[in-house]
Amino acid sequence: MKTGMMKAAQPAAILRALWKVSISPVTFVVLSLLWCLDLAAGSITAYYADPNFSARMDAYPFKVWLGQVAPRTLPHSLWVYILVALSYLLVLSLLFCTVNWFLKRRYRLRGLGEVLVHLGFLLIFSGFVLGSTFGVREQRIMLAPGETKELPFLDMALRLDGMRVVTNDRGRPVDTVSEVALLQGEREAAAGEVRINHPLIWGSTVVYPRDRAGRPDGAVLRLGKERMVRVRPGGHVDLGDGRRILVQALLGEGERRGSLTGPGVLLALRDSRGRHGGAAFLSNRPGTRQGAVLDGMPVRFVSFTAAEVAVFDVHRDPGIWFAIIGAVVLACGTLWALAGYLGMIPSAAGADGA
Amino acid sequence: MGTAAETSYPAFLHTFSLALYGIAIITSLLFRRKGRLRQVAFWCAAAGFGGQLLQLVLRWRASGHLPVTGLFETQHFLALWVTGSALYFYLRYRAAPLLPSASALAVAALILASRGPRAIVPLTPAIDTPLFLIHVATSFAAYGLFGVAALTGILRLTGSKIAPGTGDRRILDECLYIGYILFTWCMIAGSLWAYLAWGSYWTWKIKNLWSWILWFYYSGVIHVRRRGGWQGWPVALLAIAGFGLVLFTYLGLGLLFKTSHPLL
Repeated sequence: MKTGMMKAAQPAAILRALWKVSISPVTFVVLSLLWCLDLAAGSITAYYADPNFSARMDAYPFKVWLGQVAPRTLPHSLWVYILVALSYLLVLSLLFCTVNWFLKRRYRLRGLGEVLVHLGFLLIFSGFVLGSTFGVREQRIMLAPGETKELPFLDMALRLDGMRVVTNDRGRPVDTVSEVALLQGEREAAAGEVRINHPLIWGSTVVYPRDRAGRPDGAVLRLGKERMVRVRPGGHVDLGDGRRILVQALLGEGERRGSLTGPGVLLALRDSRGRHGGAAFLSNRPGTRQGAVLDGMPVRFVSFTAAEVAVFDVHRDPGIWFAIIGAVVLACGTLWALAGYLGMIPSAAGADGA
Repeated sequence: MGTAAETSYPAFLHTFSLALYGIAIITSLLFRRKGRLRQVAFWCAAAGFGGQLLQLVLRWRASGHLPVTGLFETQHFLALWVTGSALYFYLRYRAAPLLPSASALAVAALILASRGPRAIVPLTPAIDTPLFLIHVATSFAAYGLFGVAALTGILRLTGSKIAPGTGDRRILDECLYIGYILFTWCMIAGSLWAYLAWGSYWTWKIKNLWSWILWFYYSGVIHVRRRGGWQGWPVALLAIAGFGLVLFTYLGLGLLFKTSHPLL
């Protein structure tokens, strides 16, 4: 009988010991220290391995990066896996501490500030996990005024209605104000002006202005010795006798089509009967061909013409409201804690900072 | 902006404060044991602080925003918090030995400030938001308090008595606790600003990661600072190491890496 009771008491004692360790501030401190060491060492080694490491991480929702990109960058990404594990342990420690406060110390007003700080942090972390798991990022969306682009991952579309450049008193561009609309099918879900620090917010979906850029929309060619023509993709140049040069494709910087890499223009010659008479890919990139002779006609690439476009990022973060409410709770907690620390809040149990 | 009239008074007040802090260091060391003469150091530091405060008000009026942009303004703001808190501790806890070291830290900050342009320039759209101003102001206020905590830690480790009674412990505690709260506000404002400006409140840029390291480090310090085994030299050492981390995050990262926060 006695042995049976002892056996039953053992798991209870282990649980009590585990609980004691979980709610101990020392556990939190040790985990914080390990978290800091891992992040410090990892961030520096990752930077030296690839200075753009952080930019690549920021381009994806964290879960996507962790699942698809991080395995390819091992061992430089190993620290991130360790960081995730430590973060979850830290959060568990905070959660247990907070639960313990509600169980044991709920009548102490002065300690409430610290508990709110813990709660706020837990909410922010929950928001981060939600955002990382279910978040979507569509980046570098280029739009000229009047254009609409589908955002397949968000099941929406983005339309640019207009844009104007803001200059400083020396005439230097400092900002771009764009009129944009988010569309759900035919319906306009949200519309408004966006500029730096003022994105368009629709629930958890946000449109950020990123940049302005020139997008190639045509090219200038020199035919023979003097004739200059401006061409657009899909257009053509009449050479006389029914012969035509067709502009088959215009590739922007870094754009690829088969073995061809932009910037450049792909031209094809057709005779009076529409038969193929040769093709050439012309570019001004060093090491590539800038001129060719098509059926006796010298053709030379001169330059691109560009349309000004606005560049946007559209992010959807389903955890953002958790994070914002968490930040508010955290801020209130610090205010309450400060008031308690400065002796503005009475306490039955005497002074206690944290 | 940045006309001669607007830049001349900061130039004068900058030199004025720098000189007075220098005099405060010398007089506090010279008259360390000379009763009433010791007050000279306090009044010199107070006058330097007054000069800085006047400069802050004048620049604020001229620019229309809290002057905490650029190296010159941020270092002045840092020095203002360092000497301001040292003067407060002098009055509250009679912590006279803290004054020369705090003035020395302020002098170092003002010398660094001298390397930055002094003209008042309008805010660019990227930083023309109250969130940026709160973010920078609270971070440098926290850095200032962490700096004074480190000085207190050094003085305690070298066996100097800073203030009568429990003053030493309370000074260290106040610097760490209020500094941590200010730094928490800095992180909240910065994260919210990052969300509105760049689309995420958490980024993996090295400067941001080290700011979180700093926050977690001080979170740990706040949790242990009143626990039995950590009283005395361990917490003093933690305060010194913490300020080392502050300096690395603020200066070291800017020098060693390409960051999103070049020396402000």
